[in-house]
Amino acid sequence: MNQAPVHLRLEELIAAARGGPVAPPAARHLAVCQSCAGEVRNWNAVTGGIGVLVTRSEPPGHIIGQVLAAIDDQPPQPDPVPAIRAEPVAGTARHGLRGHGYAWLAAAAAVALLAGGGYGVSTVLSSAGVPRAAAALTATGCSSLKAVGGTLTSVSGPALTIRAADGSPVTVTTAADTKVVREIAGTLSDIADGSAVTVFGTNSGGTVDAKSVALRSGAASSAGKLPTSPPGHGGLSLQIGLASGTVTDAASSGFTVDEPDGSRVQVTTSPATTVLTLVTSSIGQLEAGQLTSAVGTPGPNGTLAATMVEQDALTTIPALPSSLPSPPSSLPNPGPGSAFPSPLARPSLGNPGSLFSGLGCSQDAIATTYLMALAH
Amino acid sequence: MNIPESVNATKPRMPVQLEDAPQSMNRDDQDDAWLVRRVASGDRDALATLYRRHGGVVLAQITLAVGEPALSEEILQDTMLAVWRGAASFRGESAVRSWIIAIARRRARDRLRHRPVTIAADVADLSGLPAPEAGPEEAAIERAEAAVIADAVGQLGRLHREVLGLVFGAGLTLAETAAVLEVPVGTVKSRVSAARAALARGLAKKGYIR
Repeated sequence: MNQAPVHLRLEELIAAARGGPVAPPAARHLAVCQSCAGEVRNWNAVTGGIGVLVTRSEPPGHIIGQVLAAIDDQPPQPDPVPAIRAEPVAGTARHGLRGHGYAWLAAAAAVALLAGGGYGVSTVLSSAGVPRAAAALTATGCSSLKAVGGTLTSVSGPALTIRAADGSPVTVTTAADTKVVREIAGTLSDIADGSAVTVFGTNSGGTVDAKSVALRSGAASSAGKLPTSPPGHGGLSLQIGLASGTVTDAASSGFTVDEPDGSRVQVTTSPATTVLTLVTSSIGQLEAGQLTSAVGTPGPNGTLAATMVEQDALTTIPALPSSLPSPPSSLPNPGPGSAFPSPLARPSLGNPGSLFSGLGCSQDAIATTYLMALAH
Repeated sequence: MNIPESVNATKPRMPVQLEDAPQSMNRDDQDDAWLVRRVASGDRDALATLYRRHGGVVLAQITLAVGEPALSEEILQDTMLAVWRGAASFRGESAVRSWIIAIARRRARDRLRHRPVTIAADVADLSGLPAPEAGPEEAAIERAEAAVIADAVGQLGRLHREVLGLVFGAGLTLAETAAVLEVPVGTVKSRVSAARAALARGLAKKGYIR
């Protein structure tokens, strides 16, 4: 007896049209059924049309700026979980200064101290039920790139293990074309007009007071790949100051950074400013126990396929006995409005992904910024 | 503004369980749920990240529903404020994106409540009835460029624009779409099919037919 053909259901047609997973029986049917294949083509065309509409709807930067300003005018919210709280907007929003909240300094310092000691402080992450390996990979401002930063615990052939900020080990795989860079000591006199730099510091009235300046030169240069800052970004809180671009007007007290988007950021330096020179290195030259960041694409089981690995060879991480019941209490005072009621309640790195907003897909800038934040 | 996540419109999204996330859960959904928790705790940067991830899709959806770009932006602003205020109420019973869109839809409804009702010309749009069997004009969709289809979608009635946006723009499942629209899944199916038929008729009138 002839049976009428069983065509794909609407859900299956739509899934196929959107490029989503299709069950094997449906896929087999689709391969031989012209009617269903035509339906999928039609829905696929609809998907393309709607995609155009979505692409046209770039979210304007001023909207989130207005939302955050309105939030500042409201009374504080209840705080059900330990928070990394952003400071109110400080001063005039300035393009090219990527602000991330005062607490970032404290959180990053906590990570720098704790990363070598084996403490897991990711209470927020674990309570949210997020797998640790997945949580350890940090989103960046580039949809295709993730990052991880922490202490390099081992190197096994092309594979590295980095203990991430939340305490979880992350396997980082490398390939022959993975770029490996180490930070070595430089001096302020190395900073000259034309130098490609990434600057990390504090925002002081629109000027970055540099804590660290990373100099890129030779093979380690990221010329042409420096980040761009999206419009409207300056609406966020402005306590941490970042700049990345080319040095002009170099002087003993500071310099100007010309960012690729045309903005200019004033940077002041002092004898306390750390100058790092980035030099090309290799996997074999990486040292266990040093702060290391990696940028790449997510691999299976929470691994990261790195296209960029950078190591801070200068920062000394205090060794903390693993038997200590609590993290050390010598962390910097995060200041008024802090969400850190006690050392035990300090949060993990929080959402470090926000640090990278504005860096675009520059793996160099992401890796360097991550290390600078960890080191400070 | 270069915000790649916001244009990843067709990615199927799975429901989120905050306290017991299954291993198979979409990693972006895990990240989103975590971000909402951060927002609930007062993390402004988390709100900005959510905006960057979903603002474009949400704005497109509002514009499809409302049809006025300026008003749509105002509604998007209302929506993000509502996300800030209501993040603690998010229970992970839906994907974050569909949760935000549902908020946006309510905000749009509030904004439009006092406006005169516009009667759409397309009767099938108003009724939500299933479309008639596919006719030869269905081929018109295949023949049209994506930009032409986009413009044609803009000419559809609100219900049709809205359902197509949710399924093919926001990437929601039919069940998620039904939840956002507060209608049965069967109605969503009927509405999607009717929308495509209306789209095909519109394109056929423009000459995109054999």
